[in-house]
Amino acid sequence: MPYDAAKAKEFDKKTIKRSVVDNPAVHDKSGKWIMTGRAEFAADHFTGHKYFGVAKLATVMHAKIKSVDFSEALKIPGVIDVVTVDEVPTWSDHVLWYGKEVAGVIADNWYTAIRATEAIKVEYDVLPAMFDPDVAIAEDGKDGTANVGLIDGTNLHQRTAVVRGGGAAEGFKNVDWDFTFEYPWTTSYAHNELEAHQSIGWWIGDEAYLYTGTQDPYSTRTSVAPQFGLPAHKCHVYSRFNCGGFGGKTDDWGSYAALAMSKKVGGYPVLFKNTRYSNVLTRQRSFSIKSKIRLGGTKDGKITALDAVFYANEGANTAAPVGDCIFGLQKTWNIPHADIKCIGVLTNAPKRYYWRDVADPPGGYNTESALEKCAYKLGMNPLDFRLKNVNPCDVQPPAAEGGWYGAHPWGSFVIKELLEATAEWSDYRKKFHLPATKKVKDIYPNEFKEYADWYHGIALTAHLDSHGGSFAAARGGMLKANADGTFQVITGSARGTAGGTTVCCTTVAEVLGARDEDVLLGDWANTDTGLNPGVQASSSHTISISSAFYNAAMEMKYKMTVMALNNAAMKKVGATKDDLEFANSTVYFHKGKADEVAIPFASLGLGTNTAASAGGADGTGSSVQNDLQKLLGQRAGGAWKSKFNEKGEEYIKKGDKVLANGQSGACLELAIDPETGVTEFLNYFLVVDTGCTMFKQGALREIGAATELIHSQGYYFGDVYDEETGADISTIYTEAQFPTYMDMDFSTHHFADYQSEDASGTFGCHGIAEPSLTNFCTVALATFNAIGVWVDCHKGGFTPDRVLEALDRGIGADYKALMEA
Amino acid sequence: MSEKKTTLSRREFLKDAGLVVGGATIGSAAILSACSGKTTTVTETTTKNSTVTETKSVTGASKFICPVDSKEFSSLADLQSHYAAAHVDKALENVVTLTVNGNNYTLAVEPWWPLVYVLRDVLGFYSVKVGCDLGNCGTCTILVDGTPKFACLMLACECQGHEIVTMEALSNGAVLSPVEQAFYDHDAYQCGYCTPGLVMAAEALIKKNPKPTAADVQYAFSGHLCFCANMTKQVECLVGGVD
Repeated sequence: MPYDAAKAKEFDKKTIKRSVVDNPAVHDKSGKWIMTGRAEFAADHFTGHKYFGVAKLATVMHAKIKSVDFSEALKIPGVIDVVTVDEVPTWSDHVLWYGKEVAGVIADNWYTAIRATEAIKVEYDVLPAMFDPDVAIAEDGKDGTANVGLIDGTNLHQRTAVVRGGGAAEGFKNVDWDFTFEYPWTTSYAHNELEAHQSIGWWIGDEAYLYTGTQDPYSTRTSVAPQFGLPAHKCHVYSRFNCGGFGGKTDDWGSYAALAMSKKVGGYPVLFKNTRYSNVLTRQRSFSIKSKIRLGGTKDGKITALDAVFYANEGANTAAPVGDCIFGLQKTWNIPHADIKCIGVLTNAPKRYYWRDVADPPGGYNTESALEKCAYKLGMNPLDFRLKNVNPCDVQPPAAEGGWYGAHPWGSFVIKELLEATAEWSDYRKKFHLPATKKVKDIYPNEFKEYADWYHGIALTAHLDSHGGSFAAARGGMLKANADGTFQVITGSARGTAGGTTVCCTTVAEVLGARDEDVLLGDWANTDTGLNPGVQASSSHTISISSAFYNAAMEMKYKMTVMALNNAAMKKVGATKDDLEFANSTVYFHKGKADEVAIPFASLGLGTNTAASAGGADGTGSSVQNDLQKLLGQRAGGAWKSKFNEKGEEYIKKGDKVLANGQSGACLELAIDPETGVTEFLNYFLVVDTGCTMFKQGALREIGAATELIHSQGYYFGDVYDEETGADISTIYTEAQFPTYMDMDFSTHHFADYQSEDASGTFGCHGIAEPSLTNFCTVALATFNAIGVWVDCHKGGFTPDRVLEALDRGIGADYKALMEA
Repeated sequence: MSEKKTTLSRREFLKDAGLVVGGATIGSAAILSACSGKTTTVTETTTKNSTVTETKSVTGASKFICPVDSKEFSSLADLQSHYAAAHVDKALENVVTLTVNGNNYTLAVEPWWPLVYVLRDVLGFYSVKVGCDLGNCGTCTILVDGTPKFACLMLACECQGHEIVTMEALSNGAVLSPVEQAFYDHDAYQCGYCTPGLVMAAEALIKKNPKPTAADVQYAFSGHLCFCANMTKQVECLVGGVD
């Protein structure tokens, strides 16, 4: 094993600071439901008392529905009724991609419903379609050219534009070198959740009820209720357990159909459920990126000018969140003169959305690739080149110029430190070589014997990740005290992963001094009982929810203090509130040994108490945030104190947008057999900034899982379309034909959590799994380093056939061409 | 490279599983064989390391459901009496008795209803999840006569006479089974959707091989997918056995 455990331990001691608020004994509060098969997902209700709904999907890319013939479908025994596009909100007679819903069937079982959809006949008025994004760009604006039909007259629209230091033109006036790199479209991915999306809708009178797969029941209610002409309080949404750690956690897609179908059958419960294939076609998927990146700078390797344009294929989604694809390039690197643009391209392809992470994996792939090639051209070690240009934490360009990571002090930024830590742990400097110059035996004379004659490749990156978002909105938390001294946390957020709800409980335990096991997760993810916590998909929202529970716990603590002081024993010793200590679910007073009094929470008579509060940066939550941060900062040995100004209440102003970005450093070593194109990982070192999360093991679990996923994706993913029809003909998603841990040797993967001292990581770390995803590009860079030919990821993963295809140009051919260009 | 690589990759598994699915589409003989517990291509493929395992003996109160009006009875005799009195003009067709977690359920099923549909949506065993409905994700894995099977690839009408065990039978909800506890202690789950299928496969593995290696576990899980991609821990928690 090249991995040196002793060395890693030493590394741990040196760089990994364990938080005092990180308690590995904290358990996932909802885990036992899962582990006993009692976790109720959306479809797990109404045994024997529900109908089943299925959608029929379009078989053309762009069309208007001319007619729909349901007659044959209605003859099938078991079919209850059918619905048209006019009866389901969000469905439309304007087909925008292959797979859009064009009709629906309600039957007494799911299989009959599927059969009946096949009997529905649909006639279309077919319209010109734009499937290829390059065609959409090239033909855009020309007279007589068809457009996708979402924006009049164009398929393009600018998403983001950053101009810094007078712009690129200013910078390129005075540069010693000027290189341009172009990257074709990255692949589009559809990492849908394992649970094909499903919702049960039913009506009681004029009130709508939903069990649905969403992490954010409140948003579902907000979006669904108006579609049915309902006030919010007449729409009840429940979503306790929710499938899909990696995608599809906040989608209301099935909710509209389930409720519309139920309405059609008099309010009887209808389970609307996708097939695996319809899930792939109808659900939003990731967008792809192509880019042109021009860099210029000084002889010593400093980048001083940048002109970059990124195109993002949005499919048929005018609201695709593609703008952040420039995030890493914009914010990780300190480039004084820059123009960076992201242009959205609409096509008649399924709606695009996230690529697991917000945008950075494809954008980061393009960015890091350009930086790597730039370093080679300048004759610099790629690590030194990055260190020369990385934006240090104390640099804060004016917000008017786009800022580097937002005009606020909570942004996380230790990229430089992560680069250095990763390099040290992996011995990058010792192992680095120019492309196609080393075999495995040259680096490891005594190890990896089976790969001795394979080419050795190595790459190291660190990249700021856009995941996180803001917590500018107020979030609600409700806390209930039970008579037995336990507390019940009631949050409105579903459980998509273990972190969010557990962290709310941990916050309460911390503030009240309660034992972890005495803080229970109550009736959660229920719009009827909880308060709106917002979506719990990201660390930032977890922060704001936790601050709400902090408020609620503080209120509860006040009540408990009053009760304790009214206790006869406390009165006898003359205890004051300043003398009390809350710990181990007990109130202690120990002025002197003789006076020591300990009152268990259970004897405080808490049974009737509840506390509800809002947290977040736009209201009272801002000052409370700071109080909590101070509390935890003190507990952490004062390490965070320096991050706070003297007037904590002004630290975050009302309405401030607060980001919690993820970041990590990664070094990948791989071996490639030039005869077969087979690649094997030798070592993957990942150092992730987990901040000071309270639920460290949850964060690490997600980080490891994301790494597993990203390498599967990096190697094997890539959608395949029939460009004539727009049909997805890939079996990767419909038949889940990608490898897992069963195919990959993850003993070669090593993780370390680098705990930065900034404030944004208190409750959920900087994006839970996402930071590990941005280093997907190390696969491309290490492959280039190994064989000196470039395997673009625009046609799919780094499979042996694609490596061999690239090797047809000859070992080192692309590197040679790069250096000669 | 500390671990010997697994001998059955997911890609190989998928290739074989494809053959099984194809066979089942053409005719039901393969599935019938699978239900009967005989050693056939189907059983070899889905559970290559456990063609025969000990059947868990569970007993309990039986429930008999009238296939016409869904009334419940505590004995078959009561159901027969009810049926004879209330539905004299109806032929008793497509009726099977399924033994699930030690209880008998007599009910009418369409001949093309998959077992997973009957377990979940007719009988209410919701620990059995549906992932792909195609036989390639393992989410719906249950034990049939002690052997892990994909409930989406079996027909309910062919399961009479076989002992079916779902995750509901493994613990009483308060005290976890050793396998469940191992998953819990190792954080070997995230969203939890695929977990019941993995736990059932793990139960069968541990019963047959109490001290599995990582390769053994990988082999046993080769037909399973976890889209949260947490399989590292799912394997780790079983290596060397569970207490």
